Amino acid sequence: MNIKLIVVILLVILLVGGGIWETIFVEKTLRTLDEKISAVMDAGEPYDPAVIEEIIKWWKGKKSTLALFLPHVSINEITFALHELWGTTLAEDYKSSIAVLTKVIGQIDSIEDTFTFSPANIL
Amino acid sequence: MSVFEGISAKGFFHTKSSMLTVLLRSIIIFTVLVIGIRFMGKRTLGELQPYEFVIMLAVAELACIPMQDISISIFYGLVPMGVIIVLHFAITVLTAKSIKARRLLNGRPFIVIDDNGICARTLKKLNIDVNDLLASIRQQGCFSITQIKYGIIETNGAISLLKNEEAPAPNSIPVTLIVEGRYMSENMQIMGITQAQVEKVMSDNRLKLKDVLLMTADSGKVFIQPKDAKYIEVQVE
Repeated sequence: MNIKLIVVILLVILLVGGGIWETIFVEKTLRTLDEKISAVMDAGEPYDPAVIEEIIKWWKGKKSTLALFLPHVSINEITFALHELWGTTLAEDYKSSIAVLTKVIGQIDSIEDTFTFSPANIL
Repeated sequence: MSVFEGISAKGFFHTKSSMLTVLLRSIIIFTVLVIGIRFMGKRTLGELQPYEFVIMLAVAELACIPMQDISISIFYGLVPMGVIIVLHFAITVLTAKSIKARRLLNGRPFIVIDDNGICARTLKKLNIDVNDLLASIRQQGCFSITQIKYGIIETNGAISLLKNEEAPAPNSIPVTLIVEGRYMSENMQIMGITQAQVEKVMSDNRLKLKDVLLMTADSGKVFIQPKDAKYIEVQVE
């Protein structure tokens, strides 16, 4: 078989495979974050700073891979918001915590809307 | 104290340097670009087909953005480049195998000069003006339309000429007096020709200004290319 054809076939497999893996990874990571944040919200006041710290650690582990696919600005916004959430729980300012928790959920939705493989985003 | 103190070889890739990031990104993108263009073949470097021209324009932009903007992933540049390489390959195979696809994507060659001289209709169809045509044929070493048997505009925009070996080369560079129905007053002044003299040549040949696609003069010889008829050569004093 022609070597160029082999390269092109490999390239197509890489592009399509990478695209599918990216979709699954981003979707799964954002879903998990959404679940973690929703769980904190559902648990109600007083919010546990240790739980938020755990979420931040988990997020830091994921964000370097996410940065391969998503613009760093979107990822950093979530990082800032999570740290803000941690700060409000440490300060026991739970009203602000609710506001930041809602903000993080909104940011996750916004990223999903912007980067979902959909006709609206393609066009 | 050294600025590198505390930075191990292992930790080098985690140093806070946007300059090093840009440097490495540039090397990666440059390498991928060179490999990609080599992969697409030498044709992309010289005579470009319409779709190849589009590829060159797109690739230039794709390469620049991820090189300098470290807030976006390098894959934002590499993935479109990969897609373009695949599309280029697909189009090349398609155009090699299907005449219809070749015509659709590359267009077809057009004869712009034949036994009658310049084909005004074809020029209009191709959006080429007479001056551009004259410049192209001069680049091929022909200074008069009479020196050419056939002129073909290729799909990549280049002109191919079948020269008329029997036709003598003009003694001097022909100067345009009328182009697409408009007098070239500056050229007339340079040549010392009056508008009345040009009008007389036209009336002698039963032509009106609007009917003349091209009129040139050199050493007493006038070349007239009507829009819808064979060219005329006239000897004047």
